[in-house]
Amino acid sequence: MQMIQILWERRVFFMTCLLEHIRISLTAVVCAGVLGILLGVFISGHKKLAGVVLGVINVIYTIPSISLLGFLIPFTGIGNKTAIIALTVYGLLPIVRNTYTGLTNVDAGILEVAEGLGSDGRQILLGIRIPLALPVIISGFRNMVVMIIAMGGIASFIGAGGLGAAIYRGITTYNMTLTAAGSVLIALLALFSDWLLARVQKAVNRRYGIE
Amino acid sequence: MNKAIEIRNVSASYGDHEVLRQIALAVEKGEFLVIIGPSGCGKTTLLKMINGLVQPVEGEVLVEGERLSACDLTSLRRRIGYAVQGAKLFPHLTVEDNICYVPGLDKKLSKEDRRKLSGKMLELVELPAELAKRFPRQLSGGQKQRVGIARAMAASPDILLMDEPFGAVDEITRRALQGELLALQKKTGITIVFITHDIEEAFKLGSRILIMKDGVIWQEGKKEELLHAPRDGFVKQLIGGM
Amino acid sequence: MKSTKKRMAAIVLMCIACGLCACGKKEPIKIASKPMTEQYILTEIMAQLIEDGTDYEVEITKGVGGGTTNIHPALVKGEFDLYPEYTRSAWLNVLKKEEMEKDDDKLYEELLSAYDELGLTWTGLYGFSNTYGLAVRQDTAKQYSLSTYSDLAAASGELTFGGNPDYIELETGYPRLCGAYGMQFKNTVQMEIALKYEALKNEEVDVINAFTTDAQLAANNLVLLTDDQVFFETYDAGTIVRKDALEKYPELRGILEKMNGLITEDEMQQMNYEVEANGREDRDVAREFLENKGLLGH
Repeated sequence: MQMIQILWERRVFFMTCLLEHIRISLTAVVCAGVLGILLGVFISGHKKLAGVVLGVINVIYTIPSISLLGFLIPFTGIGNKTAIIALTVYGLLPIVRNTYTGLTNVDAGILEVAEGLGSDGRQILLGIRIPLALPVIISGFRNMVVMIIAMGGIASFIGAGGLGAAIYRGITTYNMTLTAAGSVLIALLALFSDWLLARVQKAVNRRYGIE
Repeated sequence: MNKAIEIRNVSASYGDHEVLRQIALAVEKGEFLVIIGPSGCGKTTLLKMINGLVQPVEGEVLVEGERLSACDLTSLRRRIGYAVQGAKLFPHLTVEDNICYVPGLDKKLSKEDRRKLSGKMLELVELPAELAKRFPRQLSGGQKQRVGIARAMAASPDILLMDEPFGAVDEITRRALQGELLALQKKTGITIVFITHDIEEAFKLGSRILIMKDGVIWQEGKKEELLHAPRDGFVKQLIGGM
Repeated sequence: MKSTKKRMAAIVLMCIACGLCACGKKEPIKIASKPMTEQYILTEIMAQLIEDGTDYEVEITKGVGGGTTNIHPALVKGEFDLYPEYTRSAWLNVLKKEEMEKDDDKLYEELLSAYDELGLTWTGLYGFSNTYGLAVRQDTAKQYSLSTYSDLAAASGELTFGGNPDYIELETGYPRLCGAYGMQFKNTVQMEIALKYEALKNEEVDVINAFTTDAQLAANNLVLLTDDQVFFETYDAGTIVRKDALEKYPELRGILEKMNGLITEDEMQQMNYEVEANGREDRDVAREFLENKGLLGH
């Protein structure tokens, strides 16, 4: 097939794009993950703020990614840095929401027993609440990773690296095979990551006593 | 101080709804106090006042001479055993880790210590030692309940609070556990406050029995006192044809 | 703790040392390109000339979406050192002039002085223009006997025009065209640059604005009409570079000036064709061009 041929002929190009896509996505995943979980933990303890924070994130989520990128460019320039910032912002929603839901849906009876037995706030949060919320959090994490990988394709439009460069290059040189090849690689990367995280999720579920 | 627990004119509410009204109670060290009453009478709330899970709207609670409003609740609670209805074991921890939970709050326990402690506690509640590495979801209702009791007692507390701990346990095992509990109490002199809905169990276990109704102590006393002089028809009906 | 402090100090010192070492080595020259084949090729030519003739390193960001709008601010900020631009695009989009300057030399002079104030300069022009043109299908040209813009104006009432938003919106683009030649198209459609040729092929539109060096013109056998009243000006291509980059890399100017007058319109269109129609890589096409001109291999 033409696509396989072009993947082979330009393998150095594709390899560079792939590695960079992974690098950009990974950075965004880590940033969004850490930030998102901290934010989620924070609002689970301050329910009044939760509405506001979740509302804001929801609104940002509805902004088309191209618009957000365009908005950031005057401030953070073009290239990888802007891409990572935009991807991190989008990645926040699934994580914050799931962390919040997971933490607030823990059986209140169990939390009360933990308190009654003499656990302090930190021990309840770290030892009971978060472990029990973990399956929901990981599910949100999985969504976030797939989304960031897929969205990362657009970042190349503003000069960032990644597989989107292949897509964009193909469009602008009227080379549909190139575009298709880039798209397929992004899809494969997303599928692979999802599969990997599904296995992590299963292992966590098993360890933490959920069927 | 001989009084393990003192409740001085305590009232409690959930929102607008008054749950406890002007409760005055003193529990001596080594007493086995049983609380009984219809649902909604406030017995669980009363129990929760003792370890501070519920704060009084007015009045004061003292445990071992310390005012709950003025002491470090967290460290106090570690000296009070707490076993609730339905056990509420931590689903993400093994039976062993559940049992060793309270001692583990203060300091890290070695593998050996954990093994010994959980083994000892499992024996106490008549459970086989192999269960130590299982997860709560793999246990039956009765087994879970017994692990809950083991967890409550693992740190050798001075006071034990128990909310219908034998609810899901079968008759034979229940009798055995009741016997164990009584024996334990005689040996260690631990103070126990115990909620049940079973009057037979109340009479068997309690050195003193508290009958509650509508948020107040309706009548209290030893088994004989209650049988001889029930306050009214309600009490008579409660203690049944004993 | 004392040992932790010592470790921290050691790490900080190492970082500073590494930073200093990195400063000793020259940073790569950063080139930007717009998202079009022609610019991919031009930047490759630049890069290969630089790497062949000096020991500077080069980094190309190929395809910055938004073109001049995004590249120019980044250039001013210093995120890039140079890029290829078209004179009148700069005139309109960067200097934001509303009136066209017809005299090519005057235009260039004004560009140089305006850019000088921004810390930038032009090192010269390549020798070809990539100008707005109008393209129709062969059959349309035959049917209405089209070979010039005036011919088109006469037939415009029966034809649909397709153009990219920039062209349609810009006062100096479509509106000016229609005004100057009295064109009144039956219908006007807006679409992205990359989609215009498809639309023309599928007969969704009959006329599109094209760039005179577009490979797709030859690839699709289209007819480029002649601007018979010579109303429209040319967009000459050249390099814009940061003045401080020229200082930082002293050999750079000499290399860039090698590109002056180097490429004709035909040659550019031919190279575009090689990449788009024949699927060759821009890098190879650029190298072949330079080798044929005897500019590589010192």
